[in-house]
Amino acid sequence: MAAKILIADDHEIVREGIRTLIDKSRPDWNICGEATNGEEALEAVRTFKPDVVVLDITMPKMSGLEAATRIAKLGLGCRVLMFTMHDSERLSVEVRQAAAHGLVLKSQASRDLVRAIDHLLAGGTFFVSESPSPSFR
Amino acid sequence: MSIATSSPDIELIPSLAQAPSHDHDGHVVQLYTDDGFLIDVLSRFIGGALAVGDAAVVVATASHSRELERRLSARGLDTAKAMRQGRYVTLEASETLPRFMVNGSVDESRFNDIFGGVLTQVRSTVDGEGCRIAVFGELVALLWAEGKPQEAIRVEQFWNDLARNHSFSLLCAYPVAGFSNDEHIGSFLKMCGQHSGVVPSESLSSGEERLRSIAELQQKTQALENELILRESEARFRLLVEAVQDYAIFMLNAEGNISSWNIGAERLKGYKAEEIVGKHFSCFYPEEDVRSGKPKGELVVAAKEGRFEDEGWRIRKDGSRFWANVIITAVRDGAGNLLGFAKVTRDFTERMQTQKALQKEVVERREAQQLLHNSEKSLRQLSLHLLRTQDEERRRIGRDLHDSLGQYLAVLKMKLDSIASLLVHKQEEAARSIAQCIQLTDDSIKEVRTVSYLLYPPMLEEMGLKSAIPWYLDGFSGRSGIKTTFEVQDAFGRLSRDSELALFRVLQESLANVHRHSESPIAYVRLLMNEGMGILEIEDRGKGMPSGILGPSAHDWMGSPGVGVRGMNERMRQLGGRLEFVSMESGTTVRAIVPAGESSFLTSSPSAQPGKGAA
Repeated sequence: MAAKILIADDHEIVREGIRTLIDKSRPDWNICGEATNGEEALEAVRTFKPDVVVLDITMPKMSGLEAATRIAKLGLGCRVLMFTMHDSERLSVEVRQAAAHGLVLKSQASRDLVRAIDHLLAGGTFFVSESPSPSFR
Repeated sequence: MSIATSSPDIELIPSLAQAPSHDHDGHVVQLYTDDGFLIDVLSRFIGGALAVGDAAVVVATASHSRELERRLSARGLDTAKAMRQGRYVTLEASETLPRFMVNGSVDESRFNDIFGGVLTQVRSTVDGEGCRIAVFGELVALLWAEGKPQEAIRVEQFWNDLARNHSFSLLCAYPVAGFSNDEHIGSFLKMCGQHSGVVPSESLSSGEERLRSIAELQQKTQALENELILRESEARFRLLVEAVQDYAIFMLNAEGNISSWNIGAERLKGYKAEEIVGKHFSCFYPEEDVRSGKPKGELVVAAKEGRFEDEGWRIRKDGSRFWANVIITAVRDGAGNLLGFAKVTRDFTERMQTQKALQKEVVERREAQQLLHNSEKSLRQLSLHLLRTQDEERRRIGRDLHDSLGQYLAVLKMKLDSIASLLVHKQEEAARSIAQCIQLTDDSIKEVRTVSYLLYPPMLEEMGLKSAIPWYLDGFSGRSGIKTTFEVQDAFGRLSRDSELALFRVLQESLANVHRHSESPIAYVRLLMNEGMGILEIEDRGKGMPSGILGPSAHDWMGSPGVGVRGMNERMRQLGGRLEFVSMESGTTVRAIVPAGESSFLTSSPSAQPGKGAA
């Protein structure tokens, strides 16, 4: 049975980017739904019961971290991959505390996103192996 | 001879038997009621002298002279012969008096010329051993009758002075009627003082009566003397009261009618004494006070308490008002009966106006202070508003950069990545270009992220200080080369959004100062919670803060002028917190303390979801 993927990001263009990436690499995966904020994501998880949800952190109404915690509480076995612009070691800690299973930086999407979903579908976790240090001038 | 009013030198001659005689030099005054009596005395005095061959000088009124001569002739004395011999000289008093008057006053040298000449001439005619001269003078009585008692007394004095060079026995006479008036008391006593003997009036006939009358006269003299002293003192006091100009001092009788008036009262109230004395004092009060019975009420209080003091409006004669300070004192006699009231009034208009002006100034100053306070308050509100607006603006720009441009760049990179993977080997050159584009996109993403995070760290809102601070410290260390450490209590939770942002700004500001001024190689950052207060400490090992940092012109971490430490302080203040600085040689510690407040980020219940999200 095809893996069911839910995409939650408040930017249409990002959702489209994710779809393109997945369609190209894993055309067998089923993108079962999309959400534009944390609340919608929570609702969509209840409805579609996806295997993996790709969750942006910075979203209106309910942040991705909050949504991750709630999704975990649903007990539906949905794996959560945080997908963010944020770039910090500390973020990994927060993500783990929110009971999410992985973290991918948007800037590393082409390299890491599909790999990370693979890991999560296999029951594992994915945290940024190569976290570039914040690049301030 | 004393001219004092006391009378030890005055001999009171008690009886007719001891009536004035010319036997010894002296200066006796005869008081008389009836002219006939005077002539009796005179005929004995002058007749006695002529009868023994002595000389006599009579300075009398024409009628007295005529009567005397008639009486002397009746006694068998040849006055014509005596006159021819030069032993008997008569001068008409009313004719003689003008001869030594100069400008209405008696003149001593003229007096001496006239009477000294007469006495010398008379003396030469009776130039025998033991010869005496009897002189009767009525000049003084004339002067007295003309209302010139002072001049009369001077003439008495002239006689006394003349007696130093000429030997004679002088008899003066005053009609008792001349002393009818109290005003004469002083002069009477002075007149008596000019004489060596005073003969009471003939109206007392028996010897006993005379003795009694002498005793009475003595008592009266003493009483008069005392009264005179008292009256003089009273007069002096009255003069003093009358002369006082700055106080209206006047008396009221028990009913409140004015009984005395001084110059101060005239000046203050405009009434002359003759206009106001006898009127009721309520005419000084405004109509409304009179209607309410105030004037009478004041007298009642003064009578009861002994004294009444008041300040209020009073009316002048011309109807104008003045602000008066009034003291009414009850005046009682020895037995405690109310005689009246003494009233002292002062014009306090100026003082009242000064006081009013002062009060007005105080009110104005207070208002000015309030105004200043208000504008300070509004300035503070404005500065807070500016800080908030600045925060909001940074937040918005940061979000826009991060959420829009950042996302576009991220997707652009995704697309470029996918194009790169589609390219076949032959198109190596295209692949290189794409790779460059990808690198450029990466750099752009980092740039956008850096700028947007500095403006407003999105992590702060989503993950709180516990996450945002270490993230910021990483960036700070990377940029500045200053090592940082971070300690945080495990139990440290979320604070209110304002408190978190304020502490974060303090961190940014303090680290910027560490970087710019301290030359410290390290910064220690601690975050803790104590008794409901969130505390952030930033400690360095630098040279201490230059004083300018604490001044108003210090720049904040973004370089905006005029914010700096003052801005930090203001943020803390507005949140009910405070900012502490401990600057020592070993370094500086900045401690920001804010109430933890109700966290707006704890979202354990659905109702407490964050209301504001990013676009």
